[in-house]
Amino acid sequence: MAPRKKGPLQTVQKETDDIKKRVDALVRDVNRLGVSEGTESLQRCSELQNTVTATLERLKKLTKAEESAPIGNYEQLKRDEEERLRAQQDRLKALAQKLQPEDNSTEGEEDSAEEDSEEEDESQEEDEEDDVHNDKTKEDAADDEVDETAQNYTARKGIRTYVALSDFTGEEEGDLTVQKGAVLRVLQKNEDGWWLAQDAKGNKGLVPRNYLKVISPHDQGRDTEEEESDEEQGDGKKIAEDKQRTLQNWDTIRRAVTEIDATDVLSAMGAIPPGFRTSTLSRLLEEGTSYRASHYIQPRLSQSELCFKDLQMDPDTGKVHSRSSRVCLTVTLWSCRMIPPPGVGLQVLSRHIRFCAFNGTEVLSNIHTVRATYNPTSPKTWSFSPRMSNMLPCLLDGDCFIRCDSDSPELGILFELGITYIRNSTGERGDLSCGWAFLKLFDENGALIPLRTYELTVHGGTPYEAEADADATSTKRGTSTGVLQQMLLSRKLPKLIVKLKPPKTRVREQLNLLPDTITGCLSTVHLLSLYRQLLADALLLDRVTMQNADLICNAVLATFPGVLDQSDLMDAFRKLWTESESNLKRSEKKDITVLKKHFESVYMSGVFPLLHSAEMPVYFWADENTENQRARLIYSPEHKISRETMLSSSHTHQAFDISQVSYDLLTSAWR
Amino acid sequence: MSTAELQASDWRGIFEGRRAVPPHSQSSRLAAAAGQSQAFRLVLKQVDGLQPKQSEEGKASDYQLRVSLFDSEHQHFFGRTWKSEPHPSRLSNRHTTVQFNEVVYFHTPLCWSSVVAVVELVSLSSRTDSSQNATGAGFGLMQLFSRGPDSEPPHGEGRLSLYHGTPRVLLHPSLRDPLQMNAVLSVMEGTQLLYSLQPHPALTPAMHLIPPNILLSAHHPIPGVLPPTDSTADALRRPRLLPDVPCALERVDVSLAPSTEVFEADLLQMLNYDRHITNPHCSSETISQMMCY
Repeated sequence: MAPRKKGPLQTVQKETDDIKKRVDALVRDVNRLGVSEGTESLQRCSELQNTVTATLERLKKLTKAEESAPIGNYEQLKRDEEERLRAQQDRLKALAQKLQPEDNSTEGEEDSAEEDSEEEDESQEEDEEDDVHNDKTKEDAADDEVDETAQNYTARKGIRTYVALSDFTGEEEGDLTVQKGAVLRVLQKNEDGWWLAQDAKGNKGLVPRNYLKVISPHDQGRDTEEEESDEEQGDGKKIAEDKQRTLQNWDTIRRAVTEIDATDVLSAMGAIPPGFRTSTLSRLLEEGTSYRASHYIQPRLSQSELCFKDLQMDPDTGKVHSRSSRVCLTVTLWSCRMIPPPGVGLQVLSRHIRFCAFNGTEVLSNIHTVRATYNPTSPKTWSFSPRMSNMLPCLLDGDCFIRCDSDSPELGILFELGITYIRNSTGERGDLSCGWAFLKLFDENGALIPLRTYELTVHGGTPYEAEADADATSTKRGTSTGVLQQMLLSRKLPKLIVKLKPPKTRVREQLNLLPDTITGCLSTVHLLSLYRQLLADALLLDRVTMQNADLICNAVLATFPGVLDQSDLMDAFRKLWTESESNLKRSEKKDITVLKKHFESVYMSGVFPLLHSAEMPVYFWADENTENQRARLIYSPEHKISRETMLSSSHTHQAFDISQVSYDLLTSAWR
Repeated sequence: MSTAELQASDWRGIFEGRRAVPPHSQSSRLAAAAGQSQAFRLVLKQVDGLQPKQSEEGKASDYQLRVSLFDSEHQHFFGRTWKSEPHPSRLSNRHTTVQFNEVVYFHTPLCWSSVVAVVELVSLSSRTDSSQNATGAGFGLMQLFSRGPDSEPPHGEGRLSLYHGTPRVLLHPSLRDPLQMNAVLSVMEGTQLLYSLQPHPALTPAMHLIPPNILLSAHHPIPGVLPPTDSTADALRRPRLLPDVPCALERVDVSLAPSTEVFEADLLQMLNYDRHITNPHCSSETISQMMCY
């Protein structure tokens, strides 16, 4: 024994020295004797490899607390020691490779011995490790012994150690809040992308997979081990770019996953077909204004936030600068076929399609809703744009437009077929998705798909659960391969028929004045484009400087976006506009100055008074009572809100506050 | 409001609480030419002759007064809506009276007759879900300046008749003409606001501490003005300013993360992008240097 008591680290240091000497000797021997003496050398080599691995294991388990005497730079020393051992390991690896091809039979023996020892290690140390990993290791071992050692080492060292790419704040119970750069041990990888991780303090919880990046000194060794590796890093970059969006996205996915449980209950009761889910898009709409037209109609700031990205003035004409967008189409919802009706026990309040620009993961525009017309005689068919003697309400109008400037190659339109229901037994309201369809707008070469009528298959489940979709509709799809049977089956599949068209010249001119990304009803485009003109006047001409962020007293600017979200008020506006536009002279209809004045005057006399009436019920989706009551106050000659009722004692109005009529650039403009 | 403001130590809360709508650009230009701001002391005493609505009878509701400034020439509200504390109503001689006795100070450079104060009487009732429902119960237009060179400025004690309806009607396009307005407004019979409006030159020394067109309650704390010592809690009646303390700002260090060069490069890139979108026809030349040290 050594004259004075050694600490564990010192012991390891001594062992390493010893190993180094032995490796040196081995290398010398191999060089001297040549590879002819392979068998013996290889055995020595593999013994040494085992020793190194064992020593590394011991070293890893060492802690400062075990030392008898305090050591100042303990961590540093430990790391150095690890480095040294790894260097020896690399040398041995190279040596083994050199020796290996010589004798195959020996290699076989070595192989099994090696494998056994590895597996022992595994079982001792990685009790909670998933079996998949072990299986893979075995397979790999058969292929290549040397790689296996390195890989296994890496795996043991790195597979469960990850670094957080970004701060993540746990939102629900069971989430783990992590700081950027925190080192985490992943204990369990759940299919849903939420991994059970443990931080340095021992706290356990769920973290989204794409927030984590593996730490491993030999990343290339892991490629076979974990195919997800690249994906993770890709996701990681994305986080850095657009953390907020990703976060929202993960929320959506997580919700989608939890939703399945909720709807499972309903479907188990037989109340809804298996492909039905809680509506994803309805949920997004209810969350706040971020997916509503009122948000997307607002000016967007450029990256510098010093000017507007999509609202500029043409200095020559004094009009809004016309901007073409990557996608600028009219979308006509034609009909839906073979849509499974919800079961008994649910009273359907509304059948509708919600659609938006979508790239497979993110909702990229506002969500526009069109209500379907439904005939009880053919319960599986939905139709749109019913014939009406007077003006067709926006809500029922299947003629829509979509503009989107996202450069995503996956860009397309997501249609979600939904119902709003009341459960007869409990009286609770809810939104269900009856399925979804995605129409990708660009082909592999990045060219716009031909503009024609498309018959889209409606998938069950939510757009975020691609695998669940097959499950949900498997009963309908079947597995038969017969041509006739397939044809028959295909006719039974739920379908959505939509027609894409390029907008007409006049409409295109108006659409080009709108924001780069927005969807809506085609019959409101002229009003939206006039609103943009007024907005440009107020923001680009009337502001003292472009840095001025004072409130602007302008009731039209302040309240019109809100009106845009209430389709019945939009209808009222359109009706008044059409009526009064007919009084304009032909020349005036083309004069933008006259039209702007006219817009303001029609809006302020006809729509603005409706907004703050105390009697007007709050806009409530798919509630017939509210809809009728509102319609009465908008249209009925006796109850209509007008200038007179604004000045009479018979009507009550909400109290006035100047903030109701002031436009705030700081909260409206967005990036 | 004042306590809430004091509690909100974050700058955003204070900033947002103090934002006000500027006057119409044309009025501001005229005001800048005219120069001096005029200060006022407005005492809102009481509203009497209020006839409670049939439906509201038996329910003791609280009342509030709200005052906003309005430029009738441009149909433009400006400043910020001032709100009084809620006051209970009292029934006397079949009529309801609400005692307010609130003192409001403000100064405005817009000294012409088209600028009026819109006073709205607001009835506050608590909803079932414990939120407060504020509905209008009539409004009045208070003249602040004399209508012509001959007429007397409308200062002193006064009684303001209230009209039915909501002050939102003032934005109605058909009421652009003030004559038209008189024709359609219907007076609430017997309901009047007792008030007194006085020019308040004593405020002039403290004017730089109070933004224009903002109505302030007497008890509103104003940085730079000594809190009142007497029992009236009216700091602005005879405002006493805190003594001036000269301060010198030695230097300001700005560190641009991660480094000045990177910041500059990023900024240049963004500005060039901006230039491109604001003027798509601009030449290919780019902004290449703009930072001055």
